[in-house]
Amino acid sequence: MNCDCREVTNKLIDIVEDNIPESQKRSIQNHLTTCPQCNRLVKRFARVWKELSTAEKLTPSERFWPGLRAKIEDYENPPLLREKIITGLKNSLRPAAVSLIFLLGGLFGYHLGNLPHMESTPPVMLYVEQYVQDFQDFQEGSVSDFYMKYETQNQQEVP
Amino acid sequence: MAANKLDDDELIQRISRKDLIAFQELVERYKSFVFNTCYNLIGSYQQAEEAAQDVFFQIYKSAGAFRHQSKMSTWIYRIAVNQSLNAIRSNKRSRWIKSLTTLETKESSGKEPDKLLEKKELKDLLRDAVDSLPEKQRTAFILNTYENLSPSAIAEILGISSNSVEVRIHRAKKNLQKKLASLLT
Repeated sequence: MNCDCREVTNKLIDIVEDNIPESQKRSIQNHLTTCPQCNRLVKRFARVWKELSTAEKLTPSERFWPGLRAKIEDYENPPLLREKIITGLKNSLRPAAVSLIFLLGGLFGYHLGNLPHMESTPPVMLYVEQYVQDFQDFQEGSVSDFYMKYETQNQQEVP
Repeated sequence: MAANKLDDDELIQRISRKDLIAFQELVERYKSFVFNTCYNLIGSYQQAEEAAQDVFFQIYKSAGAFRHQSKMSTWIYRIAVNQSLNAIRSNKRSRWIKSLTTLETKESSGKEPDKLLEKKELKDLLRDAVDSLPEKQRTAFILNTYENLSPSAIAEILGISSNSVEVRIHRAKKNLQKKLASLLT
């Protein structure tokens, strides 16, 4: 880039806004006709700079006034101190309550995991089976043996 | 008396007595101007709307403090500028991250300058360049260029001298020229 190119780059706004002194205008114009790069740069810059003067005017959304009015109403009718305290407590206690539930759940699970192992119970014997087995266990000639034999005989004679 | 026939001074007096109808009239009268000022300074529709609501809320609260020493529009401008700058400051980190991602996209897109100037990108290019200016230069430049305010009006709003405003605008233009020239070459 020669000196004239640098001069154009440093005076882009003045060129676009036509604020160049008459004494310098001719030399810059001459340079722009002979230097296609500077010519293109000035054209591009002019397009961008023009955007500044065509800034779009926007309008706020329909929520603007209702939202503002709600703010004003909150300001005019602030919630009572009691309500504030209750709301504050609710907000701060809610996470604590959730944490407590998780903690209790964890402790309960840990407790369950540490319970002593239960021995598996033997299969329940039928009364008759037990009776018969006991009966067979009686020693020959013992009092129990005698009694059981006596009972058996009685039952057979009844019909 | 209907609120829409009142002048600004009467409106502000009624607002200081918490007259909501007068306040609504003031909002209708100035909402477009306040919102666009906030939008031009902040650059985000949603944040500009929130800031504009805060501006009017501030006006409602402090209407009684308005001393009539300046025009009401100047007073409103001052509140709007301060509110917008506060919004920008509180949002600086996310804007910084956004600017990094924008820069990354632009570098990786590798488009020709002519293509870069197509469609919406022209506005975005300008917006990014303006956003990258230092805060003081940006504020003075936006009020001067987008809001068409004279340096003396800007000086009254910002509480500085006209000379300082002119210096800030001049520096802003030079910075923009440098940034845009490097992007367009």
